Amino acid sequence: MSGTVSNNISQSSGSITEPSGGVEIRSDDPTLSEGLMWYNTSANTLKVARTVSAWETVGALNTGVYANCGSGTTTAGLSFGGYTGSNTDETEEWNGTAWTDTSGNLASARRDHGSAGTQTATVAFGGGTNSSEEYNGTSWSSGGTLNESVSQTKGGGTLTAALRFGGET
Amino acid sequence: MADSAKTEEYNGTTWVDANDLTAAKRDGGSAGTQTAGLAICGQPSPGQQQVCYEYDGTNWSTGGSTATARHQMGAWGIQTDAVVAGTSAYAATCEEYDGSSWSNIDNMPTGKSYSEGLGNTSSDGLYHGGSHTNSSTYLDTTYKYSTALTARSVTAS
Repeated sequence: MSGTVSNNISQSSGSITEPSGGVEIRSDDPTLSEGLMWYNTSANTLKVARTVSAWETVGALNTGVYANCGSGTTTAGLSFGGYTGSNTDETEEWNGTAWTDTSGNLASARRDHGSAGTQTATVAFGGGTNSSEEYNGTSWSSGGTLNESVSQTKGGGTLTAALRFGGET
Repeated sequence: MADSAKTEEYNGTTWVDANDLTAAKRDGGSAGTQTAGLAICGQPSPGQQQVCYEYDGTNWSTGGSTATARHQMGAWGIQTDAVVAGTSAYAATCEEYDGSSWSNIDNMPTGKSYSEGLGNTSSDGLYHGGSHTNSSTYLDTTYKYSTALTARSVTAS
């Protein structure tokens, strides 16, 4: 960084001379890019653009569960199956704010299964079985048969281009 | 019971065998797609792993290893931009992958295991359900992880 900002960083009045190079002096915040630094004359503040991360607690599932599966995104997600004291067929949809219990539950209750896809096009597979099921946003129907009966398996991709690997047989 | 190295691909109708994982594992995490997949940690018997494998649509190769050995955790993202969260010991620790190496990120609010992650990028994920303190706890909690580019004031320290 080079150039000089006049000695009014901690003052509420006075003029600021734009340096020949280095920190930009402006009355508003620019379009941000990581690491960009500027002096905001309206706020009398030296600023820098930084990526910050945060965890927050958001809407709770309608039913507590573990060993469930999920697919989709943070604005259109899906949770299905798992263990609630017994294997469950429960399916819930996430809209970015809240989980809604759907009427379209898995045909077979399962836990420790794998999944791939989106909220409206998902495949659930395995979970102590070689079966898979497909979700269309409303209901589940039978999918193709895996080449091994497996639990604790994982996967990725989409309903029509899915990958699954590993597990316990 | 045995750990499996089997890999299968699905086209919406039929599951077809593909090349096996580099080594059998179970109960790990996953991210990515059919042509760029990521198998994260997991548990061969006995013990949990740090090693991760990358899939290019045909073969698996060894990718970066996490700082913490994990299984029964959640993950989301793609092969070059993924997050893994939690461990079987209910740790709150999380890590981010850039396609080469893992680095620690902020801890989740409360550690839990057996939770599921979802999301397409490391900067936008959901971690829901799970258990903590013992395996008879069924959690309804959902945590959201996000990142944002922000304007920060520079202050003297």
